[in-house]
Amino acid sequence: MKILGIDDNIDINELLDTVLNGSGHNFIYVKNGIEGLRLIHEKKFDVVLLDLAMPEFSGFDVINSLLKDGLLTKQKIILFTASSVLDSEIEELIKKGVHSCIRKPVDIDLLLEKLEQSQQV
Amino acid sequence: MVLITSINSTRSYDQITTRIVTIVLSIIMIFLVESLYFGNQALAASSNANDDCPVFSIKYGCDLSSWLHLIIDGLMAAFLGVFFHQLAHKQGLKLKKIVEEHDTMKKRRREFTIQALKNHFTTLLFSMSLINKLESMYASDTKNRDNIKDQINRNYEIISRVINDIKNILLFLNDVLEPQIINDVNQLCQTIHQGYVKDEYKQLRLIDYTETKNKINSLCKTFDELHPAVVSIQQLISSPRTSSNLSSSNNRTLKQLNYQKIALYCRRLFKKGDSAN
Repeated sequence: MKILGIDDNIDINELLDTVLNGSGHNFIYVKNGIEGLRLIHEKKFDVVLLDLAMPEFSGFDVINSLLKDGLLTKQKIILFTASSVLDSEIEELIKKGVHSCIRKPVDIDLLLEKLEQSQQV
Repeated sequence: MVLITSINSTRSYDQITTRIVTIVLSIIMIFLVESLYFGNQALAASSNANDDCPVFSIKYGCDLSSWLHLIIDGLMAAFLGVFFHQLAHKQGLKLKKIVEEHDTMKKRRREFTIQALKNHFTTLLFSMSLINKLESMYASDTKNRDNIKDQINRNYEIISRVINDIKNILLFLNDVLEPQIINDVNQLCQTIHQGYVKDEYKQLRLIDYTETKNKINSLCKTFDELHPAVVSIQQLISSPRTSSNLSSSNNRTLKQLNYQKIALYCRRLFKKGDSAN
């Protein structure tokens, strides 16, 4: 599975890199929303793991840009966030075209399971 | 930077204007009160009350200056009342604004703290899970033991650093967290740290992953119970200043700057903490 991680937390990115690439996936990561958005425009990913709270260009900005460009429904976006997002906010984002949300902290097995599930849907 | 300077200059300009207006109003106020007082005194001195004309009598040929005094005093009292009421109201609004800003800032700091802690917990879970997997490989794969051991040690280093970061968060941002959470996080750190310290003597030691995972999960439940999300995260992330009359684009940049400012502030604190350690 080709996975893109957009997260400003370097530790999590590196660990995901070890885990997901070690599990046979093709994982790449970027540290901010602008680069992530550029990559989404350039390449096609099976799943994008998107963090919401990022300093320069937040996950919401990425979602809004994708929505504007009509790419939100074409690209499978999974929110991967530690933010205290309200359930109503998630529902609203899912209505817009976001696939699902994984709240941090999560263990590796559960994350892999959710990724597999996202492919089956 | 330019934006901050321009905002600061706008703010200081507003403050100066407000001060000048207050000073001018105060001078006018003092002048009015003084002139009314002396006028009043002059009128009182010039009046000649007698038995036929008591103080508040309205008769032909009687002096009506007492009534004038009363009206002037009433007007002065009303004027002073309105003036002080306005002053108090203005100060009240200022105080309310300060309290609201402080409250918003506190909410943002709390959100930042919880986010940082949850990110660290995720790193801990990932690292510990990796150590678990690598340790089982270490037992079976005799060829790559050195390589596996290096990876395990690297993950132990990550755990150690993350625990240090969590302790710094608890030290510098404890004012926004409930004491119970601080206590629980401290206990979690102690549990993991004990396992880590023991490992130095035993080389490879399996940290109880399931126990730690359960503790982290219950901790996150406590987070949600004690600090439930009541404010839209979208607002907290991208609109920290709710009461501002800046243009929307400036406002947005300012909000982002605020978020960065908190992050930078915390990082600086952590650095200080590290150097102190």
